[in-house]
Amino acid sequence: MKLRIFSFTAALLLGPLSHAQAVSHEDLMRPLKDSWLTYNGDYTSKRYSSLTDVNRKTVKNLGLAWIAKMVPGNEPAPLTGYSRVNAPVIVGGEGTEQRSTRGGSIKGTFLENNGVLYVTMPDNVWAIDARSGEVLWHYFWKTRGGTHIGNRGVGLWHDYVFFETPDNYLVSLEAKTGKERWHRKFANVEGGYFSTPAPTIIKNHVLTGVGNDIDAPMFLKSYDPETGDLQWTWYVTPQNPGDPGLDTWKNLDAARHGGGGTWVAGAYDPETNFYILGTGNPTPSWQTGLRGDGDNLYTCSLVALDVDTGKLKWNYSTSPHDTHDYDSAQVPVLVDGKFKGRQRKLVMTASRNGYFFVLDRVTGEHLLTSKLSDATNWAEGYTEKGGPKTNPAKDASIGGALISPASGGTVNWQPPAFSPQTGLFYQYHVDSYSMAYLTDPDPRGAMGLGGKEEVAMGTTGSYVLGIDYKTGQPRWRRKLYGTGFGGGGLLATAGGLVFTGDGSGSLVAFDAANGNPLWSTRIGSVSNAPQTFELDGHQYVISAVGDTVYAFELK
Amino acid sequence: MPENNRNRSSSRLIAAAILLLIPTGITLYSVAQHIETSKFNEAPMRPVDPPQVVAAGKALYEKHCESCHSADLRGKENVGPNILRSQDALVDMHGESLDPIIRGEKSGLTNHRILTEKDDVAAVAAYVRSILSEIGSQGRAPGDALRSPNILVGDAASGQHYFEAKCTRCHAAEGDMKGIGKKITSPKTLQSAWIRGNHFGVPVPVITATVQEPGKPAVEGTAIHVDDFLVTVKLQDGTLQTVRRTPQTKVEVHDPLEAHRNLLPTYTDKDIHDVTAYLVTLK
Repeated sequence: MKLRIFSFTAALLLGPLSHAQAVSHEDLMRPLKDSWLTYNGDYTSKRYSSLTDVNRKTVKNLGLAWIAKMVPGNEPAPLTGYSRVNAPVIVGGEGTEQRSTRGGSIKGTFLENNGVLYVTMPDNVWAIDARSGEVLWHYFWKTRGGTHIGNRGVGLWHDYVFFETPDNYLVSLEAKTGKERWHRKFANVEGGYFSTPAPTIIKNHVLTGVGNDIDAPMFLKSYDPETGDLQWTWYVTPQNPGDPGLDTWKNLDAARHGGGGTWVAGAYDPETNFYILGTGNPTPSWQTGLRGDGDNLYTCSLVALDVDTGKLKWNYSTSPHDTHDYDSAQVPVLVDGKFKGRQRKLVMTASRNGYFFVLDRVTGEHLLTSKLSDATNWAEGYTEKGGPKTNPAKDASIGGALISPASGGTVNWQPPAFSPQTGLFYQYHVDSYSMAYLTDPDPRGAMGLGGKEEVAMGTTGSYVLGIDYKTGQPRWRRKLYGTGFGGGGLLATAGGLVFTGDGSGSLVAFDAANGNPLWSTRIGSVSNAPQTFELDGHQYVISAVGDTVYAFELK
Repeated sequence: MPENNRNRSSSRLIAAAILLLIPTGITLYSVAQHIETSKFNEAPMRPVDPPQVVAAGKALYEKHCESCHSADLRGKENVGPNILRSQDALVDMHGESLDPIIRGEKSGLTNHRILTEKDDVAAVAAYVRSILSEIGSQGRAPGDALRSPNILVGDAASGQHYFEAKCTRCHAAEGDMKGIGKKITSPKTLQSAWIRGNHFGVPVPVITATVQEPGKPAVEGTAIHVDDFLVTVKLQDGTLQTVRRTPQTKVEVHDPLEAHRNLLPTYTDKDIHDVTAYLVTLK
């Protein structure tokens, strides 16, 4: 308690002078440790914390620090046994009261700065006291609509918070009060766009991604964090005659409707100034008739953009000519390490389509593709460029094609982790099967994700993998007891641990070296990736289950 | 696209899976109907146009627009674009976006001077909007959910051959499969049923677990929860018992469908189609 009063007083006294709260570019450039300042922990996207108090030996003493329940909407939250104050609710948005005010569950990343946690659900942002779980303020956005499927969290820059809404507004708030600074519409909800990503902030760029299920042009936009002015737009697919990649489409009309969502945050390499992200599936998703037989660039690809200009620097197709809705919108991880005896600057990703990739992140040179499971059956062999070669016989058909993975993927949006200690890349892998039926043979009818019916056939195994990036093969494979993804992503720590939901109602810690289970707590189905930070010399581990946040510390 | 992309897809899949496991005729119907038909993207609702305006618009569309954009608005390749996925059409609330296009006043489309009378233009726009309002979730074209082509593309004789070679160790055409083609009238549902290995008309197979701690009698019952630390079983008398696992604890889980699921990687699509074509003949 004394500490809290001290820090509060100190903040009041020093705040205006030192900008002690403000998140600077230098802060954002630091490797993940005490704070958690950007979606994937730091710009490398490793989700690897160098904190060691919680480790293989001490993790058994991890116990509950606090619980906080988030109540979405614009009504004041009822006080619970563990909350003492009614936090102010700040209401914004351009929708009407008639629209639904659902929130959903916490499926994103918390940011932590200076003792304050920022947590989101669609249309809702909360600031929480990281020591007590008390809500400091709650911002609620009245929506105009859009698919309310999830929100991955906020971005932080200086004293400001940034987040995206399902109806495609980029909103900036004051970090201290939750008061709105400005909002900018970046896509039309009427046109089928909806937004889930956490904005990534690099230098003076707020990188804003988007989703859409009706064949609309997808893009990444960069906004000025101070003024909210648009700086650049990068379209994922060719939009004009002569645009690069156009020869991979049947025609310009197909390219303009080619999809390729930008709905998961990427990684940033300061040396090259590249922002590297994975793009979503081409549309129409399940039929190629309108798209032609090409690779449909730059959908289902890893792409490197110059963060100051939005210009494409290199690209690699991780699912060339996708026909199963296997977005490649998975987090790419930047690693400096040995590959075939040579020290290299690498980028690696485990795609939803069941394949793992390693590339040189400076040149985009392809180094490795591996298939993570024998179950994966949609591709046959490899393309000249080393990508999985789609097998047309496994496209949706009238009689049905048995595909693995199901379109939900061997993994989905859930962020992976990488430990430099073990050299392992950690990710879920689900061997799921479904029957893919073509229901509308008319290629003109296969808009968006339509023209097909997909029926689940079951799952033969759900795992956490520790993948050796040098071989692309799992060094360990821990079977989970559920049939879906273990939780909302993974965390690796220098304490030799991997934290994750276990898919059957618990938050667990595995030994990062071999996947042995070391600790478990039965809090329910973990809905986001566990995280860690340190305050007052205490290392906290936090995670969410639905609408509730759980914080743990050593007891 | 996205998660739902991801998660919505998977919820649908899970929903379908659950439905499949409920053994009733209603289930069969539901499975066949599981495509969502909710309105697209929960976008702001447009004002509803008077039916007579929409009807007038339809007639004008048929006369002036259909030859290039098709009766179903899906367009014709290299002739007229698909209106259903046109951003100009999707964002239109009351003609502000569509009218200039129909009148040939939009830049780049000045040759597209199709109609000029204000009421005619407004009526066509109203008709287009009325069709767009039928777009389903995840961009499904109007009527998408109602399409159900006959999935019987296999060869029954080959299917019988496969069945006799691979399935008769556990199943019999004159035994548990007798009348399956009559019990499950939808071929698609029948195909799902046999691939999944679930048993229509009988209770869902129960997963059981046996827990053996050193020096204690084995605990056996319905598996309620199993993880690396705890096992909960429901005993025969209906009570629950939870056992903390140690390295010495032996836990065996018996899932009657596991063996059937493990066949999934062995099927070719032709096997699947052929077996289904055979099973539908078991009336």
